[in-house]
Amino acid sequence: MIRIIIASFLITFITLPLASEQGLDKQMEDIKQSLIELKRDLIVLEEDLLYPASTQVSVFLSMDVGEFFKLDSVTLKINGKELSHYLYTERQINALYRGGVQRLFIGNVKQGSNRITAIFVGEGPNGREYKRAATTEFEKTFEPAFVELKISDSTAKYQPEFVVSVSS
Amino acid sequence: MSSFLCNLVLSCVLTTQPVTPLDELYYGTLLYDYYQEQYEDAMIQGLVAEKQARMGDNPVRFEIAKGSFAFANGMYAYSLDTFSALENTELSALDKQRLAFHLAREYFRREDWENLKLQVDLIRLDKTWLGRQLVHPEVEFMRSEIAIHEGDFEQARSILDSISEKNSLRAYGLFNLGVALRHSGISNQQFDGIEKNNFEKSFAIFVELSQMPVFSADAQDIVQRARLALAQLRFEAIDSQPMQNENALEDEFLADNEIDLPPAVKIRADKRKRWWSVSKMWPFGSEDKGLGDDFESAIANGSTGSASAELILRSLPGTGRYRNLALATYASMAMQDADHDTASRIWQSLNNQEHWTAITASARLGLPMSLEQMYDDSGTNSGTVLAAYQQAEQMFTGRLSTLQTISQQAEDATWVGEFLSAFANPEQSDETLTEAMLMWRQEIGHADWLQWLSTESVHGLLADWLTLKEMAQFLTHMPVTLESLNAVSKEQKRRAGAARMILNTQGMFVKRDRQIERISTLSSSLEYLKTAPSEFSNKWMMAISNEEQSEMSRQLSAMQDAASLEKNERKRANLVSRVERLRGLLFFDLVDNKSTRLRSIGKQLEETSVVLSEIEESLERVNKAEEVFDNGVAIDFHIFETRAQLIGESVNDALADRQTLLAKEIREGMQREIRQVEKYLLIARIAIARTTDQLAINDEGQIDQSELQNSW
Repeated sequence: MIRIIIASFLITFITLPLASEQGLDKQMEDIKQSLIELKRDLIVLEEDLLYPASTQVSVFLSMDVGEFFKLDSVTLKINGKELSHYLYTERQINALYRGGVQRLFIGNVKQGSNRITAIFVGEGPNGREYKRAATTEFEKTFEPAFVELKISDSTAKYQPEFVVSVSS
Repeated sequence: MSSFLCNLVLSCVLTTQPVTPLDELYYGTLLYDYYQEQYEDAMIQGLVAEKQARMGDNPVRFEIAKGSFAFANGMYAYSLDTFSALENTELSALDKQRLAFHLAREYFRREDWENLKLQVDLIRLDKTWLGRQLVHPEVEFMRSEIAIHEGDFEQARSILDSISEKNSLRAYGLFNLGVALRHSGISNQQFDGIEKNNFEKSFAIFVELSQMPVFSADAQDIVQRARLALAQLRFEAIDSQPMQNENALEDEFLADNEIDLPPAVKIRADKRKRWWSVSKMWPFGSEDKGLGDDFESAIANGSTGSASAELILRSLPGTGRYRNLALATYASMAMQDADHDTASRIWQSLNNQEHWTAITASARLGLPMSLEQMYDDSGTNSGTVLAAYQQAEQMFTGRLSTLQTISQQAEDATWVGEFLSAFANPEQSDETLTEAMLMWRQEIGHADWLQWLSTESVHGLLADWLTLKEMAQFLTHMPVTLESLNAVSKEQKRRAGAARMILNTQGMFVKRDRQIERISTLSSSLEYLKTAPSEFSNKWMMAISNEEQSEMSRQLSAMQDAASLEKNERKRANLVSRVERLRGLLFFDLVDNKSTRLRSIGKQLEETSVVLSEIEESLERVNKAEEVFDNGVAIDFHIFETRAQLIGESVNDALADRQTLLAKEIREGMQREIRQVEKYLLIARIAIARTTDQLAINDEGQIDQSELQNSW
């Protein structure tokens, strides 16, 4: 009797497979696929509609090594106007360290000359608070503009480097 | 040098780094989502990059990533299709290995050992510059599983030893090896020869795991499980010829709790039962420090029998998800060893727990049974035992009534829907849900009570149900999103129309025509002046003159005409000659400044061309915008609405399917527990009858004795 009671405790961990599990999995997969494709098309539509190529600017943030700088936040300004302020979680920073690239901002700017400024706040060498700004001017044409904010290490200076590059 | 000076003298930022290609940036965004375990977002980003043709020269890596994200997102067929399509394309050596790895994961999930072996054999990692072979823990884990499947336990062990000791995959693999060895050791109920050897090896592996340093939550869980498995093995050693049924149950327990997949593989629902997946549902505490001493001494002594099994059980954590199981097992063993005092204390502590679980239900019966045995020894207090049995009976009766009521309610689809909302998402801040959850807890106990509902397959169903609910919510909001986008497109269309009106009213088309005419005039003038020699003629002079000079030239022509009307011949000749001299001066001035003038005309032509192109671009933009809004976007909205509607219908069907299955599970689970409670109730009632009889006999005996004393 006692052993049966013990076995009954243990048996509670055992799972019972459902008969039609395969059919359900396929149904779920089909729905997921349809919905993902719908979301994809919605994103493309939104981008086309809200950010036409003639005014579109996308800002990306990437990190190379990052031993001399631990990122806390980034503030993005275009033509003096603050457009984005982003605080990072450990998980996001880890994703950046591992080679991920964050699309920090997508929006519209006027055609012609524009000025973009990114303010990086975090922890620099020796654990000190570190705040740096990087700025650049770029010419907006009829094509979409892509701006990359890159944080990398300068081994020569033992300092982080903040580079802004623009392509279209 | 300039770089050096820049570094030394100025604290400037060098911008000489190469610009990252666009496809690299987009690929990076996929990885950013993937590393945060946002697989669906990563997959969508990949599909967007594909649709917007931003995959660059290496689309294969996007495809591999897409298949990998689909796999992580539970879209296994899609993933396999993606990878299979890649098999027929030209791949680099590295991509071939990547593909083999992803295919291997899928075959492993399907337990398709033959194909898994083929794919794993394709993966050959390099050596480090020191000559050490590089190892991918997940690949090695899969290799060890293949070896276990083929019964080559030595090979499996050797493979697992190549994985770092700080990697939980090694521990998972060892646990599975231990289970497989144990299975092999008792498969034919003979404890000699190879089988016995395997049984001992299994024991050694569980000892190793139980002594493993805790480097992660996974590792801690495995240590606890290994201790539980050791207790189980010791248990078996105590009773070398267990009852057939019990042995079958234990076999099933160990077999079904085999760990096949590490959490890194992220497969939620699988047909096979996995111990590790249970841990995902029941988080455990970590306060078992210092409890390992008894365990260590038991292992060190190498003793067998109930004492060591007890010690092993005592070394299980005092808190956490194995606590109650350990306590109940310990109490059962204490009863078996006739230590009813200890058993009753343990049952009492389990009885004191607020919530109803399968273990506390057993404790409600275990307590009076222990008391009965204890008092039998001392021969007193049958009344207390009877009261304890009566209390247990009361609890079982109440429980049975609740279960029967709930079982009836589970027939109602609305009730099931509400129940699932509360059960599937108890932490949601929504007040209605919280209230519902509290109600369930009051009525039917803690969520842990629903252990039969916390099985992996039901968990998978619930996860699907939640995902589908979120999908339905997204699709419900879709018309609002589409309406907003439609409003944006209408506004843009209106603005495009307004711009067109402004262009018309401000005469942009006339201006454009004028500029075209001007460009034409300037071009022909420039062409003529570049080729024609300087000549004292009206045509040449007018062509090269600026506005002032042209005016001057026109005035001189007018003067010449006026002079020709003079009747006095002498005066006329005099006037004509003066005008001619002035024209001559103008001509020489024009000749002197010819090159400057040509440059000026060229510049004017350039500027006019720029103005013209701007005007034309504006006009084209307005025209294009109108065209796009008139044709493309309006059609897309309609398509979107239709697609969303169709998906919404499928989602609702899928939700209904899952709800039906879950309702069935609930009812069946209720029935299972009803049967268990009925059994306990029956035992309690028999015990009550027995104890009542015993009490009556005792009373009778006492009466007889007192009568006897009185007669004396």
